[in-house]
Amino acid sequence: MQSVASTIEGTQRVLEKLSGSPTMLARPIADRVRRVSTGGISLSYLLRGSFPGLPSSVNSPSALNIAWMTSSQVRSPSASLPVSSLTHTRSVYMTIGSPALAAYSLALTTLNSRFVYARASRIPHESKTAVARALISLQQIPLELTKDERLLAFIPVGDQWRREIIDRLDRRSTRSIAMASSIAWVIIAFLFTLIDSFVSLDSPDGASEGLSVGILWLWLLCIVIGWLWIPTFTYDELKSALYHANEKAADKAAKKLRQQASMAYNATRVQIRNRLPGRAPNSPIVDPVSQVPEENEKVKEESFQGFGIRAGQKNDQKTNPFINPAHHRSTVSFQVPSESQQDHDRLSVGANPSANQSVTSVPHTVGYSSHPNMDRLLIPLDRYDPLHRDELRLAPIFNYARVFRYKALVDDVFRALDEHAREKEEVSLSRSRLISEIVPLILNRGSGLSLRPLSLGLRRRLCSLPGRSPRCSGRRFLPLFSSVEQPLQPRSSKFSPPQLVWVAVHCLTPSME
Amino acid sequence: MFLTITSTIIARISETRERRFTFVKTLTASIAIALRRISVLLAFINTIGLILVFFFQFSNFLDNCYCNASVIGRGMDSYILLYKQGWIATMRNSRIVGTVLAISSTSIYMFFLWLVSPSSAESDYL
Repeated sequence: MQSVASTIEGTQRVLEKLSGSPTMLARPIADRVRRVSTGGISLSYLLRGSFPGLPSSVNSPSALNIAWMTSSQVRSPSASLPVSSLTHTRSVYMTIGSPALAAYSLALTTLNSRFVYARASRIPHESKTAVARALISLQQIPLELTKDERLLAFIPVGDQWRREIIDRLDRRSTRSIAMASSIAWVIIAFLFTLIDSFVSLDSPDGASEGLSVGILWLWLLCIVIGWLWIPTFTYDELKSALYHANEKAADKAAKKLRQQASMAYNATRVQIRNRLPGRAPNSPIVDPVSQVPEENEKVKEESFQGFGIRAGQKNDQKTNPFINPAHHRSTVSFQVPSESQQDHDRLSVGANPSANQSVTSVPHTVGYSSHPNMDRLLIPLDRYDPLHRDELRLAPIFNYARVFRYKALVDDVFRALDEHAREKEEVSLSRSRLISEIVPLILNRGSGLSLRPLSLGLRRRLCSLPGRSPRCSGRRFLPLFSSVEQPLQPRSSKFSPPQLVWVAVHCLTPSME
Repeated sequence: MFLTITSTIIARISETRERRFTFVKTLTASIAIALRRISVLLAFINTIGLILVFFFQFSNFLDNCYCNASVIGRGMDSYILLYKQGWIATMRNSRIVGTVLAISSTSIYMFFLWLVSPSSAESDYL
């Protein structure tokens, strides 16, 4: 009798806490709650009715319910635990096997988006918010930024790029009423279990098992709610968004390169040979600008021989469709004199014919690129070595493996944005500007000057000079948060003071002319 | 979890070194791969064990003398608890404490997420 009384007392206390109502009211509520909790859930009611010998843990509703919720969350593709198909069983057992890892990944994803906003806030660029949002949505893919500076310059320009990503990804909202109601249902069931376990404390079996199972699965509730909170996407959505965005960026880059090519063409009047597979190599001269944009079906290659130094030998084996017939797709590959080549030619006055070697290929369609890292702004990583295996898994649980690469990517993108913003300010590099930037550097620093504070255009010019420092090629040890293996070249370039003076003098000569 | 985090850090160290440090690269890469595989294996075993225990518990398989006395944990000191009148209060208290601990830890985590997640106002402010 004493135990029953104490149990009722305890129940009343608990109910008082739960409902916030005084004890007298709590008693009928307790009865009603008990009735609801036992009879309301049909599955447990059935079990209780048909198998009276089962332990009370089965009869306690929410243990079953949470377990069911778990399984349905984990299994169904549209559910909130972001597992896109049954083949991703690995993420399932990683989640269940180590909940701390799942929670860590979730927290990391949130912290990453915070990091992106913080990084964006330091930049005086008008489109940084859009870029930040696009980057936040792209957390689930292992991405690398292109190493090509000419494409990198299109990040801020590519309005369509960002719009594509954001539009495509904003279209899907993960927060639905059905999800909210199912989560609310689980919470209610958990509360019922809680109450039931305290009410039936004195029974010989005890309901502690139901409560313990319920509490054991409580972390899953957190993680499911958290992943609903942060939008997650399936791989197909991300891939299509990226693909279309990259297409747009590549188109823009191609247009720009075409403009450059035509400008150089008009300026120097060099030979342009248009080779078609059916024709002989020495076909009539065709202007590239008039013919390039519309003809996507034709296999077409225009080799623009910079400055008429040598003709027909600039394509390496991979890019030449005549040597490698596997690449007979609709590609337009340019040989455009890049800035560095222009500098070379200006400074070395055509004495060095091997100077212009760079080949930029701008594909118009999917599936072809001779340099896979050259034609896209953001490249999905596809290295299938065991070191990157977790990074390549696309479930958001594996965000923990992508954190360093993602931060490096964000840093690079915003650095490019920053440089673009600064480049906009100084469209033409004036002489006084050069002097005012370089001279303090020479005066203030010792050996091994870093060119970081200089603007991108200036650094590009300095690094493309023939007599540059060998240390231009890269740092010995890269810090954790830098891009992998080869950073963009001018970023890490260093000069010794005499070299810098020499370089500055050479840099000034064309502008003085 | 710690194994996987260590694995990612070491993998990152391995891939950010330059190509000419072959020894360091291979060493760190192999350590990272081994750690990752061990962690995956542990998670898999954990999952299977968890599910098996649930099956056994729900099917009343664990409700025998051996398990109730928790022989595995206690060894020779194991005992079987018999109900006594005065213990219910202790049981209730410990149960309340356990529940409060569980719920508070989860709610602290949710509060942390809420605190950390960038609000829409923050993105508009940019």
